[in-house]
Amino acid sequence: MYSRVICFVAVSLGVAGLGAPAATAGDAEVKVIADGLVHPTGIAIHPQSGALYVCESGAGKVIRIDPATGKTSAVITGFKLDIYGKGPKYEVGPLGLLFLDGQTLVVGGGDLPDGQELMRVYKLQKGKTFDAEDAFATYGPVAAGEESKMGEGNFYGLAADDAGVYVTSNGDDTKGWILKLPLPVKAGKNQKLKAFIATKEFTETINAPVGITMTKKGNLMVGQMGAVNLPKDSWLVAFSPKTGKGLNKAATGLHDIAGLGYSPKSGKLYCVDFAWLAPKEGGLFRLDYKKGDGGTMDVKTTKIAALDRPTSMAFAADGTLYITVNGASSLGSKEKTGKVVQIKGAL
Amino acid sequence: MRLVSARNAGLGAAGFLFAGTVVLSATAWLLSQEQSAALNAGLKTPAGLPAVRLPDGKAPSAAEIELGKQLYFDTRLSRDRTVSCASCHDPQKGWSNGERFATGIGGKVGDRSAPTIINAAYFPLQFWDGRAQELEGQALGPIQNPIEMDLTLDELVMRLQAIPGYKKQFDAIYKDGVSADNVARAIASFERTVLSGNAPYDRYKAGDAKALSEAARRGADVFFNKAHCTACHSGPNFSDGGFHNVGIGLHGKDFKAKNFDVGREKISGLEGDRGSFKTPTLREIARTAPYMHDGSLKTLEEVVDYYDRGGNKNPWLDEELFVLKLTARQKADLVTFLKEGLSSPDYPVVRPPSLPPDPK
Ligand code: HEC
Ligand code: HEC
Repeated sequence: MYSRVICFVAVSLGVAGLGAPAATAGDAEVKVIADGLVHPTGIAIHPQSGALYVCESGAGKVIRIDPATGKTSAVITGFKLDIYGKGPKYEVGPLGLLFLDGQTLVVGGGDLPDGQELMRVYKLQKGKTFDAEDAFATYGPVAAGEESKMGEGNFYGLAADDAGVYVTSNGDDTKGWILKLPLPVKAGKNQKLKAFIATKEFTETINAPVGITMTKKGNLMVGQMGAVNLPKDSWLVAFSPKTGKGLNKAATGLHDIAGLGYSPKSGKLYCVDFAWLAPKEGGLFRLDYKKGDGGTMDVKTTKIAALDRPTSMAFAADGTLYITVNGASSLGSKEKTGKVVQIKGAL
Repeated sequence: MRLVSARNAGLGAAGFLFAGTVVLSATAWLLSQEQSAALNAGLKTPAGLPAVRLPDGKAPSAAEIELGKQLYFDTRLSRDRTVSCASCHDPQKGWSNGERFATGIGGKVGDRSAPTIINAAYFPLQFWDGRAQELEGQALGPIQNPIEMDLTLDELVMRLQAIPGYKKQFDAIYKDGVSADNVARAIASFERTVLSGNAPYDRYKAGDAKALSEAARRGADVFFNKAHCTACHSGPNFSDGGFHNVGIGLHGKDFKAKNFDVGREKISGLEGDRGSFKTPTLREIARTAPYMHDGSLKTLEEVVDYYDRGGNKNPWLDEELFVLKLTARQKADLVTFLKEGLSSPDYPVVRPPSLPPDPK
């Protein structure tokens, strides 16, 4: 259905097609690090080496990219592809990535149908390519039942504190779940993945948590994507990871927030907007927010760079920002328009 | 109905229209501080509803609302002077028309049902397919529609200019006097006062356990849980403002030949929107039969049976619909909740105002 998250989708509404530059930015310099990718949708930066790990979702794999040379290599391969959407249709494999430490990589699934989807944890080894099945631990599924009438799927955004990994999920649209994978990770299959925060109980109408990150104070900052077929209905919402309670919420006027992150340099919050219905209006934005009355927030959005359907973002320790960009292609396209871009400078 | 405090006329209406630059927030229940403040100064919002969004955050004046009300009820806004907005959106009939389809001038019949305009103020996108933005963007549609009111905008302006009682009001309220845009502004301002809240459900939610009968309480539980209705009918207006294919109008259709109303797809161009229509409000639903964009379901019992079956199967059916397996009692309770829980004692009753007379 259409109100769910299909953040990597490409609609041929925009003109930014082949050969067009990945982005045009104001002050920010946007540099393409890797291209020719199929639906890149999740990015994490290796804490020691600074290498980029990216879900090349439409190719069913996780790849490693050297940010200096752009050289890519496969890290985890063999994910199944799940087709969904009712037109246009899309294929997805893994969707979200997070490092718990230099060896432990958490992968959010999108490769299986709702109700069967898994979180997988890999213990990486230098030079070794894993098969998707070779996970050290798996969590889930959240099958159809009391908590989720259709079962959960599409684990796109990941954030962690000492107690757990918080996973944005789709499935039951009356809930809009954020799931919790308890830490520390233990070896084993199909461990409990808890339906933790029903975001829609706080937002009432705005569904689809996707982008997620931790605030300095240790709260969860979440981008509710809203419906992909509605314009400008994306919200920014804060939750407590301790109690699961909603803290503050605000309409942003952006279309479809797909990724969020704080600059380690300035402490400011940034997001990428996929802008499903209006790709030309999408890109990288700064979100300046302050608490308002009664659980609200005041948010000001400032566009930093235009990007053609960005899907996720991650800051390196030195403040350099990396963003996965889908471009125009969708299922059936011959062209591979996916890219990873780098933005340096004062963010 | 809830009235508007008599703030002085003639102010603040310039730059009123949601222009192309509108920040169209599809379900912006939250208002900025200034917006709420402005609103509270001018308009009263029934319990259980958020303040309505206002163009530029400015509350309309009482005079502007009054002018809009007159225009809304005035049949002179149609070619043969027989049809007004109220003909199809009649306060006596739940601000809809009680019929399957709407009948315009010369008895011409359209192919979609007239929705209620109660709480339409909360929808950024108007019409079943969302083709108009905000109430201002909607109001001039029916006036020009050849099977509804059939006036060109030039004719509209000429007619109103010629009626001294209207010219005087427009001149007092708007710098540029009578214009099509100002007609839209005035009608939209009036429509923003046609609200329904403070229903038994709102009082129940606010803590009054006795506000709902036992059956309605059980029905609320079915609505919010087992029947999955809030996947789409969520929030204070019981609508997500979005578009979904729930299978209406698709029974026995040829999906390849597309011999049916494709709804939102016609506007968005996306196949995934095929057969999708806007989620309507469920407030005052007991008054607005028949139901659905094609008026094909006559009663709420029929609606509940339809959802219980999981809707008409089709390739674009929303994934949030499935066979509900409700018991006979759960169905009856659900209907009771819809009828009793969402009908307000403060239903917006508006009597047709006296209208400025034609020139002698
Ligand atoms: C001939 C009957 C008819 C007349 C006259 C008419 N309408 Fe409508 N109205 C309809 C129908 C039918 C629809 C739904 C059409 C569609 O969605 O394609 C509608 C839709 C609307 C909506 C959208 C509500 C929603 O929730 O999307 C509003 C608002 C509205 N009309 C206001 C007005 C106003 C204001 C006037 C007078 C200027 C008016 N109508 C005159 C039949 C009529
Ligand atoms: C997947 C989203 C969705 C779900 C779930 C859903 N509805 Fe609806 N509802 C809609 C849409 C969209 C329409 C308009 C459909 C059309 O006319 O084609 C509608 C129409 C209606 C109407 C007719 C309103 C009118 O003014 O004509 C009623 C009554 C209603 N729904 C009640 C319910 C109840 C009760 C449930 C739970 C059993 C429910 N709905 C579940 C989306 C939904």
